[in-house]
Amino acid sequence: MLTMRSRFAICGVMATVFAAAPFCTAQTQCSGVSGGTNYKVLVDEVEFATATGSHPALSLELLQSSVEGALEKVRRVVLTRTVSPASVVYLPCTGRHPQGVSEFTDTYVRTMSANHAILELWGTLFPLGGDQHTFDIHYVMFPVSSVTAPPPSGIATTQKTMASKPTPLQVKDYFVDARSDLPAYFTLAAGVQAYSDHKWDEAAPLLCEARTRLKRKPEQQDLMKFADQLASKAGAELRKSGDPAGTSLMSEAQAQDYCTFATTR
Amino acid sequence: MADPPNSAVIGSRPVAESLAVEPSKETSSTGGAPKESPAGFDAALELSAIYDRVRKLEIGAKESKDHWYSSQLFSSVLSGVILAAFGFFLTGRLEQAAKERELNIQSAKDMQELLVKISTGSRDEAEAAAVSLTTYGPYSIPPLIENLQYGPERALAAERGLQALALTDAGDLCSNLGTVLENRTQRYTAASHTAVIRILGAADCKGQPQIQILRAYADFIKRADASGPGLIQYQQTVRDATASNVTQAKQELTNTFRLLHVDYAF
Repeated sequence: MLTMRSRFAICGVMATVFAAAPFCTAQTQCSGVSGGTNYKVLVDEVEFATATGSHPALSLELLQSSVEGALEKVRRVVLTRTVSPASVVYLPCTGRHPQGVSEFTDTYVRTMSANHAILELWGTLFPLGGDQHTFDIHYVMFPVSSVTAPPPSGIATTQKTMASKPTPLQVKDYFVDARSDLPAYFTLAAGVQAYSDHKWDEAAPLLCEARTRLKRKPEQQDLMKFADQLASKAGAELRKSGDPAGTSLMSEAQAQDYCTFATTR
Repeated sequence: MADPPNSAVIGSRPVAESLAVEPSKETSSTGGAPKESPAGFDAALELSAIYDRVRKLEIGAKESKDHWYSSQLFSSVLSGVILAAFGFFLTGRLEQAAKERELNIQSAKDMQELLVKISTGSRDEAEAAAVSLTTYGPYSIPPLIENLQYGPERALAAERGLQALALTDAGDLCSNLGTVLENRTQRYTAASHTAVIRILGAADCKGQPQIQILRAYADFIKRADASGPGLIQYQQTVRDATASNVTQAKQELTNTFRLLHVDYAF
């Protein structure tokens, strides 16, 4: 039997939830996140934000296939020596467009990480007046955010101002530009996840690639150092395991700075 | 009650025989005037005792017939009342059972709508539906646990609902969560096991069975963390598990043990 206090408590919780619901923007679920041990990249909508609302800036299918093409190319180049790299699934999340990083609570990030989701990205185009637009791209690296202390920020944003309203093709090109932030954050997220899964031969080259790409970004030096340290830890594990890639031949000092050893030998 | 005359009768010959034989024996042996012999005295006593006993029996029978509860009318009325009460009780129980069943069917229909909202609605809708589902009490526990295995919004909504149930149905909740964690047939995903560990802590499931289950699971995770064969065993018993899930389970177990004030060292 319910006590009076319990009933009040339930009613309180329900009232809070129902009262809060209209003020929060409805966040669409992305299917395919749960199940399997594949690494998952969630590609959300890129939208034009207007005074009356928002609408997609380009087709999600086009965006998803472009992201997949660009990132798989980077992965193949980086993991040439890896015997069996983990599969990556690119999920198009129709209608999903997070309103901000506040939606990514600690429990949410941990749940995503438990389902082997590594990266989620979305974009928003804001009109600045005239034809000028600003393009915000947001990245959430789940394995980085769920790492235990000291946790570096796994949430990043790229901002670009455009002189005129971009066409869908321009939006797509900017999103998946090889020199943009996307490959850097992808390699870092995939590298950290591979490290957590004890796939040292996959983690070390991915983290070194992330380190190299992040080195060019002065605002991301914390992430660069984190990638470097984790790559060295992966290198030390590789040395211990005596893998066929020849890392067993490196000295302990070289293993301490694995990325320098890997890029100079 | 002991009755001496009565015992005298039972212990000797029949009364008629003693009355007929005893006086003649007495006369022939003395040959004088007949005097009051002990045998004659005994017969009179015995006769009076018998008379007394018969009278007592008659009075007793009369008295017993006078009790109100032994009357024929009363016993027939009483049996009727008992039958009516039994019928009333039985009908009540049957009606209650039928109503409960009807309510369960109706609840299942209502719950179905809420479950659809959990799986297809937005994050807020899913959470609101999960909390609404808790009003069905213990019936809502299995579907909410099932939802822990799906996408993050759905799983988090279910987690919130299960935590709300800790206020009203803590016993059933803790028992069901323990069963999920005990499963070793790949029925549940590693992500849902992690969520269950988290809820056990938040719902304050500090019963002896749940603590034992948590300790056993922690030992299991310890073995998975320590060696390759341990990890393989973990992957064979928990669905979609990798080494990163082992690390996460360790973190959640540490936190839950802290909340439940249980000493355990990894």
